[in-house]
Amino acid sequence: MPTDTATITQLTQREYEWGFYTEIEEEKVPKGLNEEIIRTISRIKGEPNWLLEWRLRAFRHWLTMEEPRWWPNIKYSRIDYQDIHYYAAPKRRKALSSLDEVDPEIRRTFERLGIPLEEQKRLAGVAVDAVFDSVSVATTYKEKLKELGIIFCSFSEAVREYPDLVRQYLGSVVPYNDNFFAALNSAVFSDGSFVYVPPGVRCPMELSTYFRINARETGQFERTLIIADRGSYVSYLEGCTAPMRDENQLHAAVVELIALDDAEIKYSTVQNWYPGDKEGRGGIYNFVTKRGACRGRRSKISWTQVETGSAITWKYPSVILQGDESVGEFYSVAVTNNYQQADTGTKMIHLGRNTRSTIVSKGISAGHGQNTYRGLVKIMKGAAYARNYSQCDSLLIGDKCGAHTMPYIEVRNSTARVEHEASTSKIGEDQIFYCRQRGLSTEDAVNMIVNGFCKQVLLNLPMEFAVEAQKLLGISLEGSVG
Amino acid sequence: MQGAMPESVETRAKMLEQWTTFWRNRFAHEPRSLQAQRREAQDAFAQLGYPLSKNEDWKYTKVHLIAETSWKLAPLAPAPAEPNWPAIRVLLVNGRFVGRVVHSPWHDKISIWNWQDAFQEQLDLLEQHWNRMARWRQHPFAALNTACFQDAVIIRVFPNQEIEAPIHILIHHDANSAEPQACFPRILVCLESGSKATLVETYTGGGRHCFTCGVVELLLERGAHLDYYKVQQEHEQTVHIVQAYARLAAEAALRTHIVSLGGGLVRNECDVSLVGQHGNCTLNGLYLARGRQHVDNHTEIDHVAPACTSYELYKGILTDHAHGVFHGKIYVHPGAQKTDAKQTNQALLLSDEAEVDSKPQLEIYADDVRCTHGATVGQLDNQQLFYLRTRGISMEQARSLLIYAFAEDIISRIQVDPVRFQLEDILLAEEGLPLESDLRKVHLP
Repeated sequence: MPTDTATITQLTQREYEWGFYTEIEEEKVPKGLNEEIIRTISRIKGEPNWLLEWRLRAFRHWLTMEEPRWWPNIKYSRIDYQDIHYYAAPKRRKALSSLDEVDPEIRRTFERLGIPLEEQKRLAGVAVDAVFDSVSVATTYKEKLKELGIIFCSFSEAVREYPDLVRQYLGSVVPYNDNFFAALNSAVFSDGSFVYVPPGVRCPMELSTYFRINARETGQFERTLIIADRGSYVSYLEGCTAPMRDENQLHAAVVELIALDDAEIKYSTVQNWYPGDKEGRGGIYNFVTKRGACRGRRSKISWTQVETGSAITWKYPSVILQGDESVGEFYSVAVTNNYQQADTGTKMIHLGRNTRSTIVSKGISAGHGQNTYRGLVKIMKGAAYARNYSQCDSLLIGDKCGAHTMPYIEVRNSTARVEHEASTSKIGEDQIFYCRQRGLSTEDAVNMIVNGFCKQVLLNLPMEFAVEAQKLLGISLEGSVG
Repeated sequence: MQGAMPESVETRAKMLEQWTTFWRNRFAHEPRSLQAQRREAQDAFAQLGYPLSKNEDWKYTKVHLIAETSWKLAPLAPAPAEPNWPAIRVLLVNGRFVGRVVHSPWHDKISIWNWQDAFQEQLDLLEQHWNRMARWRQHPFAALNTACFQDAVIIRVFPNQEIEAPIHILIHHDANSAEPQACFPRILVCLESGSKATLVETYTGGGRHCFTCGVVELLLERGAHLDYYKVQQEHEQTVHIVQAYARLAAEAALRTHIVSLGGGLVRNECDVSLVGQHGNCTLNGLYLARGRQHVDNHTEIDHVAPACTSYELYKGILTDHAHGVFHGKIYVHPGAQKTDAKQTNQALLLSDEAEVDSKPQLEIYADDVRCTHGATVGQLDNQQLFYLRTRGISMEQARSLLIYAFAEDIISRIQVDPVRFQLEDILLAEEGLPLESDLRKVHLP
């Protein structure tokens, strides 16, 4: 098709639309990483001694670890861990009772991103715990959630108010020595969200946090802990954008989910951080450890993610299916454009009887993007009648990108049934032709086909996110013809 | 493909010492160019070491046992009895060419040499093709073979000739000493343009402390066709690590059938490079593993040229404590447009003590391609069992029938009748079903 080159060029030259920088005074600890820095972070945050000790244990272990570099399709310059500010917080930090007290600069940023903090109250159903850099500056709907006994607060607050819960569950799914970046996070995590849903409570609204990296040269180390007690349900939304920046920024978050008997957690992410410019300069390094544990019988954890941003994404939201009849789900759309690299997938570890898992992964590569699905399905000996279905599809746009699928299947139980399917293709010319015949422009046709390709995943997003996700896909891929 | 270094200097020194007896001054009579290759391979092996830790390609197959054993070269041994089905037959016993090949009706179509004859008569051919396909610079066992092999089979099929009789290479590992012994079968097959042949490799013999470390190179020039069969029936404690490397020029077609029945630690590698347009390869594989057998099928298909197709189907049946591994990579190079690749891997897990690890991979750098892979692991279908039971077939027999049917899917693709009949009988006997050969006797006029 003659439009190919033009549209692909157009696509690959698209600038990051939401790159802007907010001037706010910040409080920073000096650059570098040592025990003193960790003690300082802990002191600033007024943490109890056990947490400081935990951080230090993590740090000492981190020192013995080596940065993983074995992904053949992931290339990046070495990170200087001593050249990062490990803590930054907006300076004015008095208690805020209403949204009006939030720094107008911050609010304007959110507005430009289309996060209607003010409108949240009217647009019932979404409580926002906005994490601006590392400290929560505004939390809404807290009162209403409190009535039901649901705890939804910043991690620091949880450490102060609910130390027993935090102490019981922190690191119980992702131990501090799990991997290089999880250890780093455990040592220096600044803040994050904490959710506890008491037994039998169905959280009436989607809980949502917008992460945003803002301060120059500040690594962001979020820590999220969500606990759904027996018979409860919660849906959690995480989304992020980051301003234009030249240096690479490191983001190493840890998310831990715990579902007890009959509980269900739905965790949705839209990730649109700064992916670097079209030459591949700058952009966020997104090295995240996300893991959920289905501890209870009949519990369920569902991950849905739309990954369009970051220079490098390295992320495997996993589920440990411990309880009998527990269910794990993973739905993912990952888009790589320009010089973006994504290595993402999931791990489903089946331990309990009759456990089930579903994996649906859609990768779209354009420009010089490299998109890898890497997933593990492991059926342990005791997981009788375990069931897994995985589907990984890749779509290639342009001939300079790469799409890779690397599933690992390990089965140790003869009653288990594991199925994996993967396909790679481009947008068919016959499909475009069909749409063109019906009067659609080539662009609309591609948009429609891509949306159809991802539909299975997008359908699993909560309404608020589905709209944004579709918009994001449209923005990153409109005009591209395979 | 980065070989992991041995864990310490000490183990590395020990490892090298173990093999030096193999390559010390043994090959002085060889032409210099070929000797140089051996030395390079020695260095490569010394550099790579055994793939012991954190090597992705050896994630599920551990070779500590090989590293810990001190191996002796398998001694000369008498030839085993030859099977009675007609073929152009070559015997390779303990890595050495035995006897002379009789192929008079075919002498203007095909030539077969042992190593010595080849480098004396066909140095040009060797310098052009020898050791060109094997990835001995990356693969420690290919390097080891290249450094240590004692003899080889070199086959050349002349342009536009069709060899109707199957070429049968019987590779026998004769275990007559109590000490651990290793042998290094080495085969090079050149099919010149437009030629057509069928190659059958059977691996027999072996025993406790036997290590068969082989390399097979298959070169298909423009428009050549090769049917390649490998039937591995060694003693069930033999270590068997054999790499087959194929390179297909334009319009060449390769069909491989790799059947593993024996061996203790088995690694069948099959690497195919499609370097010319419209090349076509079909890889079929079947393994039956029981007891404590470990069977690893490792395949890699490189789509270098555009418009090639590859089709891959591997099946495994596992019982007892067996461990099955499948690694299948499809690599589509930039520019290899119009690639059509399909890969399927199925495993039947019949025991809770058995384990299957499957690692299909697609690595794709071109956009106008169609690539799929599918992998399933499971047990027999309850509905199918039920169907058979409603027809009055006992549970046990129904299971046997379904297991047989699962394997027959691959076996039925074998076009060399004697090989197919033999495999069918082995399978049927295993499942306690009436033998096909008995049935055939009844129906024969």
